[in-house]
Amino acid sequence: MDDRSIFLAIARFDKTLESEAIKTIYRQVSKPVKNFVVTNSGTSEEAEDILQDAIIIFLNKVRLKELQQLTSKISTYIFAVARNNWLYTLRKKGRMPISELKIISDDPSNLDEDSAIYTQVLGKLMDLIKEPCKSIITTFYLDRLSIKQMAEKFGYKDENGMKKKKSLCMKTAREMANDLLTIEYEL
Amino acid sequence: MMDNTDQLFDDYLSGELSESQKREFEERLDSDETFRKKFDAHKMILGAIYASHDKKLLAEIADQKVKHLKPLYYWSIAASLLLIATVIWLIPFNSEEALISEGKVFNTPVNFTTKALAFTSTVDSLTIQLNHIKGTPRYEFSDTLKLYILKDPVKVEFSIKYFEDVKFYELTLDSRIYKLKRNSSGSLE
Repeated sequence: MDDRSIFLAIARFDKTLESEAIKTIYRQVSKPVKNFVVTNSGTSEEAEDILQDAIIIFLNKVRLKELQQLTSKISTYIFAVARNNWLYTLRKKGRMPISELKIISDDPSNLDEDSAIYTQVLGKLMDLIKEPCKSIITTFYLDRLSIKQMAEKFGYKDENGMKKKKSLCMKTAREMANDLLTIEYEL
Repeated sequence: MMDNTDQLFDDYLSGELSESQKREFEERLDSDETFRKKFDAHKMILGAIYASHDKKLLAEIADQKVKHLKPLYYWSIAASLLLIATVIWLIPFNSEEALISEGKVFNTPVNFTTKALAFTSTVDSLTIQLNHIKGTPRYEFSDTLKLYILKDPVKVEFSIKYFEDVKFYELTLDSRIYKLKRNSSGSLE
């Protein structure tokens, strides 16, 4: 798959092509990202985490319309995110490689804390959302079931009741998200 | 009365708004802070759901890349590293290779390590600690699988499979197979 097909498959939530698109991305960026992390004081486990987090950030940027068109190759974009996040992690852990210190001090904007902790915050939010809301929201946004199908699945008499419950779940989740957005995180 | 903002957010994100509606939406994001914060929170919820799904898929992709472990014969490296690692046995593995099972696959990769190898599969997680002893090889398996094995030979062929249906782990150590369960201990002879 080329970059354009990958981008469209992700942006359009194309269930048929999305999985292949993500596999292609993984294959393209796996080696350079892992090499970068491992040769800069990281373990292979840390490299895998950084790689997967960077891919997730890219996927969400596309799906949530924060990245509406490609200005570079997908692999270049993801490598830049991974590099940024790993350097940020190293600095926070006091393991910054000497070779990179100058680059960072010259351009502090290289370090994006939001990006480095993004997947952790999302993980915390998923932990906070309890059942049945977690299943309701997931079924609606991931499985893409209609409200009618959901009413049947979750045992609601009519679509209105299901709509109200989903709306309430989103309201509660939003409050949790807002709370998380105001907390400062330590890596 | 039900809040229709979610629907508006969803329509924007799925590209279902007309050009003028889209412009109006984006102008409101710039001018109305409460609206923007609500949208940010909405995106965060969706992002969390997508990330949770993607994590599973990426773990599967990573697992599919791995191959059966093979020992490497880095005698000189091992010899120098053993001077440092006096308590925990250091086993050299190829960092490009990791563990695979026919059933459930542990998400590695495995790398040179002096402490523990942490594998996380989609169904379970397992930390393995390798310890060098001079006596009888044995294991202790609770949260961590601790293996107490002999120092020689340095080359060790090592793999582990997890059989979810019967909940046991099959450990292969130098071509010998051991069936292990959590919360057990015993000899590896």
